[in-house]
Amino acid sequence: MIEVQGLRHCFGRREVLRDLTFSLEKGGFAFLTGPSGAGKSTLLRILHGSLPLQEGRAVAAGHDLVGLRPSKLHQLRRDVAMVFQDFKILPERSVADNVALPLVVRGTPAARIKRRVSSALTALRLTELANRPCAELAGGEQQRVAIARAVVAGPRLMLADEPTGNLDWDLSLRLLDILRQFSAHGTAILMATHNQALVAAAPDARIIRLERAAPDAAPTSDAADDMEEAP
Amino acid sequence: MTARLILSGLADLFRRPSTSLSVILGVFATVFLCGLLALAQVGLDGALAKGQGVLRFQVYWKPGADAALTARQMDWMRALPGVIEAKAFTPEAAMAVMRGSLGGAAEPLLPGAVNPLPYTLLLGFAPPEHDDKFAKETLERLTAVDGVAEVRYNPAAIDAARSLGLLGAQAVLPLGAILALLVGLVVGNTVRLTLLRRREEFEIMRLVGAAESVIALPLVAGAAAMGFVGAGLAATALAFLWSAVAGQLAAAPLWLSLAAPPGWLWISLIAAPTAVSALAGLAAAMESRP
Ligand SMILES: Nc1ncnc2c1ncn2[C@@H]1O[C@H](COP(=O)(O)OP(=O)(O)O)[C@@H](O)[C@H]1O
Ligand SMILES: [Mg+2]
Repeated sequence: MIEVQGLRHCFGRREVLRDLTFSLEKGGFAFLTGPSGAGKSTLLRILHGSLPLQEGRAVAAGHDLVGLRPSKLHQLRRDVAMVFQDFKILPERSVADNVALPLVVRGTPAARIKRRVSSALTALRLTELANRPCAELAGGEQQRVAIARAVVAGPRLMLADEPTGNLDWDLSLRLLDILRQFSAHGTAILMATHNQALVAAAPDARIIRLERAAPDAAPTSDAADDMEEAP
Repeated sequence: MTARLILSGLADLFRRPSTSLSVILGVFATVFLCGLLALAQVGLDGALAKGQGVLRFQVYWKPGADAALTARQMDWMRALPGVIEAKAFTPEAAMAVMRGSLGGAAEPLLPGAVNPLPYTLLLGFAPPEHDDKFAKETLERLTAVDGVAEVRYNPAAIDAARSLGLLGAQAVLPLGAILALLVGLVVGNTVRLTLLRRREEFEIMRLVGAAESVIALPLVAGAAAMGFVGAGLAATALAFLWSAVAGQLAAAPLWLSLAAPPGWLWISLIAAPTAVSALAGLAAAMESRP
């Protein structure tokens, strides 16, 4: 589902990812770990087509990222769903509308949208909130909306960037459980986290560990980590 | 899918009715002004082509003029050089027309009383080319006839029409270009504003797998619809104005009978702004691609 070979990425002269090689099979589940600033978000954004591939090879859900044409980007994103660290949901729209969005933009018939949204809401225990505007939800609830939206269209690969970042320990464990169930149903999942306890809670899962690549790297904080998300 | 996107683009127009309305108004004003000039041009061209150089004189005799003498004078006028049409009204005929229009209820005023309506004769001349004095001389000749009270004529109208027409012929192309530019600017900038306002929404749609066409098509459909409605309203207003003006001009003293503007004019008055609006929307949407 993911094939990465000799991947390297620089921001300016600063090397963030160096000679990265790994693969993830269909329905596989892997943690992407490493300290803040190690390049976890960068890797996920490359695999999602939001950052250009600079060096090396990468294939995500069958889409070759080398020379990916902008006009084909939407096809990649229909097979590769992303749970964003900052959710990227539409605050004034309802939970159901937000979850339906991936289906709406690909022209799914209305009846099918209704069915799939309702089962995604059920899976993430959001049914009660279906008609509430997302702006009224707590952070953890918004996070679940983001995950429901990522699974609603049945992607072949799901990339999740710190999906437990806003959740307490119990909710984090529950979320991990939900994601592992989705992977058991055939969706490959790559989940970035710097939460070591969570990684330890799933001892059988694959771990892809990133180190801070550049020895001369400037120290980063979580605040800086949040600011880098601008498109 | 395409139909759904177009419908959603139309529905979006109602989400911001004041914005949509002001764009429609802008298109309306532009198309109306340009259409007005185009219609003046086409209408006057038609009138000139139809009555090309025909000088019309309406001759009125004094009331109570001698019938036999008037008849001979009319014959003389009909035989003047250059006359191509002549239509006489005797007081009796005029009275009959009046009675007819009053439903036959009107009695003769007084038995044996003088009919108060004058004899009149409408004369059409084909004036010799390049003879600027012909109209004036003919006017003087007709006015000099014994018993004639007044002569009305239309050369001023024809001159005015001719110069307006010439002006119009040269102005049509730049006019069309200005129309396209204005409509394009009004609609294009509105779509650009919409893109700016909904930037986050469109960005999220892209992130969950929206093709660019899914974002662009509703915008283009909405832009085309605003152009179509604005231009359609302008064309409707122009059509009403046209029929009102045509009725006025067809009477004395102008006698300009306007041919109906050709169908292609109406079609292009609506189709061109619609197409320009759609293109402006498309251009704006293409600009916004990441
Ligand atoms: N758009 C960008 N421009 C410049 N530097 C960036 C950009 N995005 C990320 N970085 C830098 O790259 C490094 C890796 O960032 P990131 O991938 O977000 O790490 P992680 O998600 O593992 O915390 C950080 O030092 C960050 O500051
Ligand atoms: Mg990160």
